[in-house]
Amino acid sequence: MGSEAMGRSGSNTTQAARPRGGRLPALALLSLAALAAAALAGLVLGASGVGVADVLALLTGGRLTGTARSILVSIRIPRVLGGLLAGAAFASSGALIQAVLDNPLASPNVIGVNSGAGMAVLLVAALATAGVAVPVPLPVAAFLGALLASGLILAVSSRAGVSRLTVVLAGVAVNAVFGAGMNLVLTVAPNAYVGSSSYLVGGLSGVVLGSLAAPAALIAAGMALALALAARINVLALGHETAHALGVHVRALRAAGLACASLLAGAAVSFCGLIGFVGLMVPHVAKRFVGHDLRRVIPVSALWGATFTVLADVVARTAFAPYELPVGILMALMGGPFFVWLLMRGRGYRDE
Amino acid sequence: MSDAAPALEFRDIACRCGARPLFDGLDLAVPKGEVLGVLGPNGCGKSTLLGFADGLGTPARGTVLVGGEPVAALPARERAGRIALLPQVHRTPSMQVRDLVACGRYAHMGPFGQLGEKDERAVDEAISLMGLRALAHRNARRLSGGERQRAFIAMALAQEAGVLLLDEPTTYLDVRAAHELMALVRRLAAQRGMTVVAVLHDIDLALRFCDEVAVLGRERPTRLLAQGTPAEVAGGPALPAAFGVAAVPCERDGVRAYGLFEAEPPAGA
Repeated sequence: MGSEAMGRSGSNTTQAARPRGGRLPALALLSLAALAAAALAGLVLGASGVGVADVLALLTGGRLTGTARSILVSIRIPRVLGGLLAGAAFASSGALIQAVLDNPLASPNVIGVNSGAGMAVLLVAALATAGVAVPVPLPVAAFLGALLASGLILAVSSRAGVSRLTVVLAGVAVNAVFGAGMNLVLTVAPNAYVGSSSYLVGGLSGVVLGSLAAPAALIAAGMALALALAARINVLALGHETAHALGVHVRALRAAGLACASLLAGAAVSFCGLIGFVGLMVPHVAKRFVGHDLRRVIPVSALWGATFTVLADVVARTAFAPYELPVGILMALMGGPFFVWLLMRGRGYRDE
Repeated sequence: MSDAAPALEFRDIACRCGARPLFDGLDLAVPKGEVLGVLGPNGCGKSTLLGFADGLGTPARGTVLVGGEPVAALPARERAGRIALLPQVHRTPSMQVRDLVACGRYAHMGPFGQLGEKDERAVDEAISLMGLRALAHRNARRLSGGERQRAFIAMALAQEAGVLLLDEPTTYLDVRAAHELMALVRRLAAQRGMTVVAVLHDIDLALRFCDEVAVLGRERPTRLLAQGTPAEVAGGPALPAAFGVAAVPCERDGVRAYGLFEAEPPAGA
């Protein structure tokens, strides 16, 4: 992987030998192809028969049966789109959080950003069923909840002399509180949220196109902001003192990065619940291939996160038919062992 | 010492470290365009001083002036344009050397983190000055200790600040790499008219390569025992007082090195 590429370029050090220059476009193309393949698989695989021909017909305005059309439009397409959006959002949110907190253990699920968002969503939904209308759209409420969680973490991390471990431990505590809060809401108002049974582990069943528009817009904005911040946040990897010396407002930059990560994760949580694993694992895998430069890590994480989530969802709803697993469960089931294998193979993280 | 205003000036610095005073009215001026080596026993506050100079911390009393202006009052970007600091401990991210050096242009980034033509030129120049052209696209983690340190100094150079603060830049380097690095720093200071303050542990290195040497004392609150040319400092009572050693010059082919021998601290120091 990374070492291989470096070894190859090592011999040619005179000219501008960009070790990854040749690999990056290839990697991007391959990733896009995998994404398209995963999306197609998500559209055609499933309990009812929809073929590649039907998908093509729908895309090109050709003829297809009413059943196939309704399956595609009302079930499969929302589901695939939801998976793409959620995967891209969680993975890039994780990449941001890991960079901002300078800690490979962090992810939106670990430090409580997801559960802050989830808590807000469930609270708003529960209030609505109790007849108290909260005039805030769910994705925005989720963003605010995520922002609250990351604000708490930021308050801890900005105290002078606090170690990186303390910050993550504080996140674990924040996560525990919001997790308990969500369980509390679900106990008091079990029917507050449609599909609440799989909300805590994250699932894509019941996603409809109409409910995706607002999160999609927020996620697009979040991705744009993340890419704009990427070069700056890179500098944080040099450590607090060096970053300060280079003219970085360390605290403000961290706040901006966490707000952006909250926007991404919050928007995703608002429609698919607390899918966790993708936000931790995908950035790590991406870093192994493209190094630590966030200008590469974020787009690659987004692509791979989207692909992984859609594929996992296909398996989740077909492998155990007629039962359907929430994608979050399957993702941890598949991804966990793979992640451990990857860590063992690379002899772990020696620099931490 | 030169008549011109000092490039960097510590005025009446006082601060506490825990219950004990670390400094109580320390004054230190760094003449423009010179390489000043700062020597002192462990824990005497050398790194703390550099931190004050870069606005990482603020002293309880007193000010640090850069070009006559208080550092604490400068906005972050402006400060980065005037003072570059290479802290003692820095982590090396998995980044190409050129990208690492480009971090030095942080203060000049556009709204999307992009760099302009002038910035690219500054980065290229810093890379050539530190002799890193052949390594520009190598991963920084794969460099040797000396190369890595040069890459970080190139990053600080890319800031194009008039004052460069180095906190033990030769730690982890072998003798040869340390000498090369200090020679390079000297040359840079001369070429660019930069003022360099280097906190050093190696007395011989400081006396050999610096225009001036400042010695901080062992007792708290820390006092400035001596500041002057290497010859003045080596001949004075400051080194025995601070370290319990005397520096004895020996010359070969016009190069002066210093041997260190145990010495009694002078009475009353």
